[in-house]
Amino acid sequence: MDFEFSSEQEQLRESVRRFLNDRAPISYVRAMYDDPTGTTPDVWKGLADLGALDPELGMIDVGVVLEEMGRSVHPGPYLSTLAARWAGLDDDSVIATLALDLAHVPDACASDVVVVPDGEDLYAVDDFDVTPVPTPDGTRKVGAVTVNTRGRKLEEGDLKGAVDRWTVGYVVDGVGAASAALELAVAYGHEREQFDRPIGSFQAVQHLCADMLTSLELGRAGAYYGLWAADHEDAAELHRAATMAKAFASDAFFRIGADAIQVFGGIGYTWEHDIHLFYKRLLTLQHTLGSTTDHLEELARLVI
Amino acid sequence: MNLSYPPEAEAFREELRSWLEANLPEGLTGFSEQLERGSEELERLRAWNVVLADAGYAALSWPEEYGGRGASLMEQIVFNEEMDRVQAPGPVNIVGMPNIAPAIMQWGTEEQKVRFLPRMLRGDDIWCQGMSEPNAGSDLASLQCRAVLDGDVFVVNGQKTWNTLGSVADWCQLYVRTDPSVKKHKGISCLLVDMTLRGVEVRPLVTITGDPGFSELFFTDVRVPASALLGPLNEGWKVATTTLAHERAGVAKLHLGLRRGARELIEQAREAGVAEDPVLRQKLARVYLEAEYLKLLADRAISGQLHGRPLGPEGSVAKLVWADVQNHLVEVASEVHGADAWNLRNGMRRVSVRSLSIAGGTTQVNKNIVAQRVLGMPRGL
Repeated sequence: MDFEFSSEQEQLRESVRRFLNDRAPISYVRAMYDDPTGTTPDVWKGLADLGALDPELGMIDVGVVLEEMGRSVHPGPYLSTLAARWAGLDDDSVIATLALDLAHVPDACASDVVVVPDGEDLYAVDDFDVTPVPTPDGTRKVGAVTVNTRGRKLEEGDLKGAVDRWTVGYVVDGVGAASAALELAVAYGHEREQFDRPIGSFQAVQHLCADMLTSLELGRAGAYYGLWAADHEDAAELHRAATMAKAFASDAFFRIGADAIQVFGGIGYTWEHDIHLFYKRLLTLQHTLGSTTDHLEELARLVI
Repeated sequence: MNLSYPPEAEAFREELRSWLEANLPEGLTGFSEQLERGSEELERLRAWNVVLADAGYAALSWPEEYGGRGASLMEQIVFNEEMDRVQAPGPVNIVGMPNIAPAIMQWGTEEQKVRFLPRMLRGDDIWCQGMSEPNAGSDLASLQCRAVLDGDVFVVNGQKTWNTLGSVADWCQLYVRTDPSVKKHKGISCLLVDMTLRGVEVRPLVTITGDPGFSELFFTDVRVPASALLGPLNEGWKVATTTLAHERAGVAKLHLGLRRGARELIEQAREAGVAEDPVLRQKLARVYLEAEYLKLLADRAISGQLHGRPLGPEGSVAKLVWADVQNHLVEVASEVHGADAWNLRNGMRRVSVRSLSIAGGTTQVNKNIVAQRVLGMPRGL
């Protein structure tokens, strides 16, 4: 029973964290807030240089990168590119995404290739038009895609497996964002004084934070289990793990973001403070790849 | 990351499974809360306890020098899973084994260890614990039960409450105030008290279910030999925290009953023909998910311990989650059971679950602990 990441994975985590702190800190996220691509050539290349885009990485390795991206609400097309590869895209050199709904395609504006399902088949489309679709979350990018030429049929497509991995990936990103939100809230509880004492000493605030930790640790265990299932279990078990992960995290992680803003009070409702970025990131998680109701119904189909 | 069980643990599972098939007496399942002295149920459980002890299965976690198996954490987990799977009761000393024995091992004299541990392990002596008092619940350190040293005896006066197994106990691990002049945590001592001593009175404590699931203990001028002291005089709080640390380590088996309960409820929903109801399906799936996630949380806690870290946030959080999910389970069960939901047996589960967020540390106290000790938030008043 070993739930720990390996020392290589921890090294990868450390180097990704350092890179994002140096090259894509919150000021970068804010600068890219209205940019439809969410990335810049130097940052994308930097991630590649770290090995974060190596095709031989397993899902657990990738999970380490995703959690760090969530922690720094990174706006780039990393997860979408992996989703396209999981679906069967055999070109590891491009930025790509996977289109389940052409009107709402994550990271479409940054992508060279969009993987588009058509019946049972998947096509790698590089001749397409894209229009940005703004959402309240500027840390995530969405575009509406019009396919001009159907493109090349992928030989070994796996849409179902790709969607399950994508789902787990979003949830692991959420673990990072929710952890950061909780850490910010707890730190503010030490710092902010009202009624002549730190607000973190009030039980009402403590219990809110204890509830956030409870949700986070449950969701973290489930998300990591999803990573494990992707690498080591069969497709059915991965599907169960991904379904549970999203059914849990959609609402639980949204609530962590909401409660974090609550701990900050008035300052948390300002554009100036960063906490809203984390809240919005977690709202995107709730609105992506199916609702809580959808996933609970799917889980019911699996286990009832 | 490797979430499979190690081969040694799986080999142990096989060994235990066949042993249980051969040895578990027919019809011996469960463990009612209202054991009576001299009852057939108690004697059957004691006989089974001896069978477990003789096979080396009564005290997996105990070191071998005290008659335990010195089993690895994974073996302990497998043991709990297999015992739960066939609903086999464990040793009779449900309080003594996990909670009192660790304190005796750490603080006891050689004489105390030899005298008490083997008999506790076999169920020859039944132990209860005297901690809570009417005016000392969450604030346990404010306890008032007094012991005054008079020559070579302590004279004990006071009251304890919420004593599990109090009605059948031969011995009590009793926390008493031995120095009222110092700050409350400082003046407490721990005594190992013979329940047959003159002046000890046990009365049933009837709970909201109408059943006497616990006892109250009354001590009136009870003369306890000074040799009954466990640990140093006035250091009882340290003895108590030894015990509590071990109690928290037991959280890794909380999910067993819950996951079984969720699976059984799904089965009952199918049989009752309500499994297709779109609203109920959502609720059933939710309860199933929560129970599965409690296991994953526990697995992470175990992994942390195997890597030499103290029981971390997962452990503190597990008790909170467990109480919540047990409540969700019985609430959804009420909807599944339809007209039978409010019969005495099913309905009373809605009543008895009230204890879960109170016993062994209220949910609110646990949240304080999580906030202050896990998240490091500033202490309040």
